Amino acid sequence: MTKILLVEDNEMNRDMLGRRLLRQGFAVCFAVDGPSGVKMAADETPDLILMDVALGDMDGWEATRLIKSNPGTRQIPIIALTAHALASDRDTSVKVGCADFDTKPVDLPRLLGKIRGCLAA
Amino acid sequence: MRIDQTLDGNSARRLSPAMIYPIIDWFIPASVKENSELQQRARMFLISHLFGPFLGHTITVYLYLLDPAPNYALWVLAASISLFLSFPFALRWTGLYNTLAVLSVQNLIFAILWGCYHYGGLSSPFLPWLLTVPLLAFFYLGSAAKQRLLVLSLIAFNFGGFYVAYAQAHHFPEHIPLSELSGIGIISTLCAAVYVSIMALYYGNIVASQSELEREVRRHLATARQLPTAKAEAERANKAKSEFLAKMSHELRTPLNAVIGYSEMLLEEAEESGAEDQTSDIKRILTAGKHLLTLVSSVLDLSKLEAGKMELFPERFELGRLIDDVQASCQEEVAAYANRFVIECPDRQAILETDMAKLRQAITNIVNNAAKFTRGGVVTLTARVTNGLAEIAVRDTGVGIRRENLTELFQNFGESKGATASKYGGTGLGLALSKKLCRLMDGDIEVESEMGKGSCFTIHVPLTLRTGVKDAGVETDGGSPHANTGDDGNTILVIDNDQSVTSLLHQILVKEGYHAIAAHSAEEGLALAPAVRPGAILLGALLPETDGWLVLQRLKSNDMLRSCPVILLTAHQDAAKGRAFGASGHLIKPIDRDQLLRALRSVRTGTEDEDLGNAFLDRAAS
Repeated sequence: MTKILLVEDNEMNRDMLGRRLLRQGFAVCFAVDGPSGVKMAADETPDLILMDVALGDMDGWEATRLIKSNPGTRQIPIIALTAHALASDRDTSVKVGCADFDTKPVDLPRLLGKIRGCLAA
Repeated sequence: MRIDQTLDGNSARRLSPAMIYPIIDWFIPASVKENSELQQRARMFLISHLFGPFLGHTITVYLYLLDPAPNYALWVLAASISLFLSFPFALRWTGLYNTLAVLSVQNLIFAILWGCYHYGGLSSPFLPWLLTVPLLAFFYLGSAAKQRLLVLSLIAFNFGGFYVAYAQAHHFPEHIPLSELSGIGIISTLCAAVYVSIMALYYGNIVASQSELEREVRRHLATARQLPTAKAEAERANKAKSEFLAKMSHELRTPLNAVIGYSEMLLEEAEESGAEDQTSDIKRILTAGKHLLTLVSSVLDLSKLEAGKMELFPERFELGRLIDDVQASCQEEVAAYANRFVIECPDRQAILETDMAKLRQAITNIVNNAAKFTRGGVVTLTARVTNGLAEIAVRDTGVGIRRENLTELFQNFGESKGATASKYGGTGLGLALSKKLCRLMDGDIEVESEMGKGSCFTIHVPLTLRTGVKDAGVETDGGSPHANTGDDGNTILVIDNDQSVTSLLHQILVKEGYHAIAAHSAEEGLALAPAVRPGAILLGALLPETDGWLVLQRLKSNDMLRSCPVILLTAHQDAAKGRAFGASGHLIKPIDRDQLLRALRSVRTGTEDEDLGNAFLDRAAS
């Protein structure tokens, strides 16, 4: 079963997106901040990571950089999720090595499309 | 100086007997009126010449009555005093104020010494009048050293004549016995005192009005100094408002997203489990939540637009795709009021390179608005390409808009008021937002309407978003878009009140891939600069000339703009002054294209000065 790691600090968003992904047939594991996200990526080796960028001390970009710098987790595709559709956010996503980028609130069909695209690549 | 004069006139009039002015000003020639200081002196001159002779003649009349056999001595004195009356007319016809003033002083000295010589000699009652000479000379001619010397020479010269006349006869003639002159002595001294008092009073008035004028000017200057602070305050308040709105909208969106997200989940679950009795209720929650989100997003977008923080993400797409999207998202809304939705899109294949999402948002708002105000009618969406512009027209057969409401239609919260609003609802944010979005994409929205027949909103936007304008770094292959930061450095603000200069510079700059924005006045330039955050400013000489320096100073005292390099374009060599004011470079008009581009490159890469200095020298030498 395809395993997705959701790194999200907001409990409600985590619950909502997690349950909807579960219903779509994915296995979902969660991390609530950057450091635990990096650790989970290494421990669970998910097939894909959904990374909220607005996380506390260590932001999603930094976590992505660390995941990408670890040979064991480098190949995992990461989709960045931000609250703003700012071009600078897109640029940063690409720069730190994200495979794709989406905005919150999540439009599930659109996000599913991106997830499937990343998994197929 | 211009201000001084008007104020001066007003305050003098307020403080002095107003009726004198029309009379005495009639004698003042235009050449004298040009100089306010000279005009004041001319007024003193005229007052003393128009009223002085009458005071003087009280003495001649008295002498005439006393003298048993009036002879030439009296007639010459009378003629000399009467001569003063001709000076105002001479001033009016010749305009030679200074010459006349000297002649008048000479005539005065002569009249006094003549009177002294013939009536009493060194103990003459006319002797006190001599005191008025330097005083009047100062009033007439001012206090310059040259004038003082001239007046003293005149007095000395006349005393010389007085002495020569006395030395030849060895005594003073005695037309009237000295003892009989004591009566006229009192009159003479009184007249001299009255005369000097009048002049002193008038002089005092002038001094008072001048200090009032100074106070006035100081008040104006103080107000002028406070203006930038007040303006900055207002701007700060406006910015704070925008930031508050942006923050609030963001804070509202988070819980709203939870409402929408969970209702979607509930809906999915209810549909899966076949709980159809619940789905319609959940759908209502979902619809209301989405509607609320649209409103909150509109507020956020508007505040972003007003704060100049809205970014554009150009994409390459076909017009047909855009229209399909709009149709898909508006179909339901249009049908909700039993309207027919007609789509006409002859140029489906036309390629646009602009921000598709924002254009779609603008069109969707317009279509939804049309649908909302139409019941059982037709909403027609027509999209085509004309004159290099995409034209999207939305026509409805709805209630229409009153002519007087058309102007405020696109204001925030400007939707029709009263009965219309309560029947059709809405906040009026959509239209304002659409208009601002179109403007951001260098387009616009126009509206025509007829009451009871319907309205037609027409959007025009350029097919291609000007690269370098709002989006210098955009890759036009539709790939990853870059930030529209506005301060990408490619935008050049040209401030010059000469339209031929701005249009020439515009041509040169656009050809070189810059985006040029022109401002034709100091205020316009200062208003545009913070809005466009240009990479460099070309500041031409503004009229009046000092405005250019003022603009430069204002730009350099603005935290946001301080770092923006300013290149001066002037007709003369003010390089040193320009640098002192913080200019990064200086070019002499007429502008040489290569030097301009070199200067721009060097200020923008920060290499500064050397090239520019050369450009400056080359130009100065040629």
